[in-house]
Amino acid sequence: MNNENRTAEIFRRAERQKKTRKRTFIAVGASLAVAAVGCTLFVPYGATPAPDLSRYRQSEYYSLIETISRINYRPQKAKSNAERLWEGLEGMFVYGTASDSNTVAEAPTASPNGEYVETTDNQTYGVIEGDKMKRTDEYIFYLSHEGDERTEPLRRFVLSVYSIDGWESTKVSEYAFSDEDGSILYDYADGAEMYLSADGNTVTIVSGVYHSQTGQSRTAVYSLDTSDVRNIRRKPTYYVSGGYRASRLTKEGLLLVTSMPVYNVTDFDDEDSFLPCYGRAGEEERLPMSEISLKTDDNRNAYYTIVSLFDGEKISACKAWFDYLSDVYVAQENIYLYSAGTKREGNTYSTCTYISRARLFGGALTKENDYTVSGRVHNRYALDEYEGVLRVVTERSGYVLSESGRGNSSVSSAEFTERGAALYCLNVQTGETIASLTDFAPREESVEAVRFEGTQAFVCTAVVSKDPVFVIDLSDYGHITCKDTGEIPGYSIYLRSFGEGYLLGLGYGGNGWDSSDFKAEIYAEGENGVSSVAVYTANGRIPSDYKAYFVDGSNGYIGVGLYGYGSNEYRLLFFDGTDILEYARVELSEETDAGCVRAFVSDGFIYVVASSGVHVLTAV
Amino acid sequence: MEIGVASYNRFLQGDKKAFEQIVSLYGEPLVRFARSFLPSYADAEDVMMDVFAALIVKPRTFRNESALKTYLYRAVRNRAIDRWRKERRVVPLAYAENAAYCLPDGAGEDLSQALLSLPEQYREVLRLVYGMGFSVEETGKILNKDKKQVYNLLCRARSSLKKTFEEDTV
Repeated sequence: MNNENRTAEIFRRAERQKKTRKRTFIAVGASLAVAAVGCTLFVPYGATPAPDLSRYRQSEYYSLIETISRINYRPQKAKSNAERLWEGLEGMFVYGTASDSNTVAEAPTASPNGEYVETTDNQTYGVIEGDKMKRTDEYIFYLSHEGDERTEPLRRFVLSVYSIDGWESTKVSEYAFSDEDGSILYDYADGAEMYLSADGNTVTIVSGVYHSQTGQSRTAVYSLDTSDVRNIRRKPTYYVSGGYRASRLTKEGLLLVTSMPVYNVTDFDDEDSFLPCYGRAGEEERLPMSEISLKTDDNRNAYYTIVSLFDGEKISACKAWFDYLSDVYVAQENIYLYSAGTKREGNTYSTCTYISRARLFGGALTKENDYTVSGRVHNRYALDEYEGVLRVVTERSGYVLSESGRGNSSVSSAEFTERGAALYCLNVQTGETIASLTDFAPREESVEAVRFEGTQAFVCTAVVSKDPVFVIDLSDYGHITCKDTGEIPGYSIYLRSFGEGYLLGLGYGGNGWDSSDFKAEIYAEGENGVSSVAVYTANGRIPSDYKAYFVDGSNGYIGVGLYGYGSNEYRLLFFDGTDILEYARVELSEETDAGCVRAFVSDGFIYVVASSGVHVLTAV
Repeated sequence: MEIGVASYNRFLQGDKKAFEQIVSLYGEPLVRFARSFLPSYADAEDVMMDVFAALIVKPRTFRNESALKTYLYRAVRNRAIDRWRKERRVVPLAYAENAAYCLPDGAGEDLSQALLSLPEQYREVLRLVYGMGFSVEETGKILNKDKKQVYNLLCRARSSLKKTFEEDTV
């Protein structure tokens, strides 16, 4: 072999050696990683003593510290990280809970921005709910986000103002929020919501934020002076500890519900880490112990549910329940915080809902009584206060758990002992059950939609695609009657009165064979309950947020974002008294979230508002 | 700076041709050196090429020519001995037959025979110093011994060779 060939061969060998070296590095790295994981997983734990709290004995929060410590202290059951990991994997199969929202009304007055016009489907009259869009009779205020609404979870939000001027409608101004004082704005899932004052001069935005300096989540209240819509100015920001859960605008002010976890707190030297704080940015104060309600039952998670009231100038009241309450229904004067739970007696389990009532009156928040009802509520529409009675529709589920086998190879099986829909009527003051109706739906049916209208309750249940709408007459609690439509194709996830004598249901499966297709159905109300009079079906899914549905029963319009099957559009439907007709389709850009589109009718025009702008159509 | 180190430095700067010059300069002598440990020329060439490939994969810095040369001989020696150790169960020890590979040109048959009768470490030190022209210091680096040990070895090797050569020729 001559030197030229030798050199070529040497370079080939060098390449092979490089590859071998690389593989060796990877193999060694992987081996070390495996060894490290092995050491981490299987090195046995030492004993973990209960924390010594004696030095906090003089603190006003001592009882709270004791409670948090007692809940958070877990003598290590696992002997090593491996056992702990296994327990964690098993825990993945345990299921959790849900979420919410609601608001207030003020009398409209003359202002340069025109008169306030309500566009949101508020659950309780006079309690306004936050939304992506609010308007006066002259301007539309729309809250959107920078970037792709569907794929970017951390996005700054933008307030856009559009004029309401038929074909001449145009964007008047825009205000983009910037991060301030270390808070990173974000909006996800149920996200930021907006309120507009009655004179249209103040926009209030409520949003969860992440504070980068403390690493804590808190809820921000941003106010904007919109008296000159072309020159929007920011007002002071207020914060309340905890992630944003819900808000309502009541006659007493803006009600905020936040949720603050303290399940990982074991060091009580830093009070900010375990005490709720609230107030103007930079001037937040800790909630005094007198405003924290400690629960007596320590078996649940270490969370605060914080309810505060913002009067436009300051946070005027703040109260915390040391309890995890996942959602809220706000009536005229009462706030019902609730969460799902499970009761256990031996091997028998039954689902239940814990409800905690607070009263909001005269600018003060007071904790009132607690209730527990059997079964779980589907969402806040399943609760309704009417003339001193709290009506609750639940889905009951009871089962006996049995185990076979031993140790890690044991298998649990559940045998259901009860399962079905129920309605309970409770005296608001005493919590006494004054009436109930159980198992009004077939045993395997789950509650999909509830809507109370005065002395009537409409309930739609589903499991298979042919599911009835129930009309429950509550005019006489001594004689509750229930009528249903009988089997009908599909089911509704949303029920709402649609003009005089009609009920609208939005849901899926109207064609009778595919439960994944959108269905809009109009029911006529009669002596024998409700009966279907018109059905419209289309390929696609609809947003789960009720506020995304445009329902104008007086003019016959229904609007909803439709996505899936390669489309992303807003579809407008029209009910002419006989049929549901397709009125218009508005194509949405790919990055537009169909759940964020809103619509309304004004002066012969239909306005469809999305992050991309306002689409104007002529009304019938 | 000797040509070998200069070429290697040029190679490190991206001149691939320079590496061929190094192979031309040291390749064949290294094969002959390796051959003294291994049963076949092919094995010796294989060892030489592996050593040069390692020089590409793991570049080294040499300040002078003797450091590069010393490094190459030491690496070839170690690798050749490793190879022999791996293969000795199936291949009989044959390197003694190849001792003459490292003798200067013109060395007689008698000298070769006398060398073959010496212990391996004597043969090795004689090969390096007289056959390959390494200094005592460089030989020490190749054999991993200090100068005094090399001197002692060399002295004993010469005496032994002289004695053997005289006995054979009497």
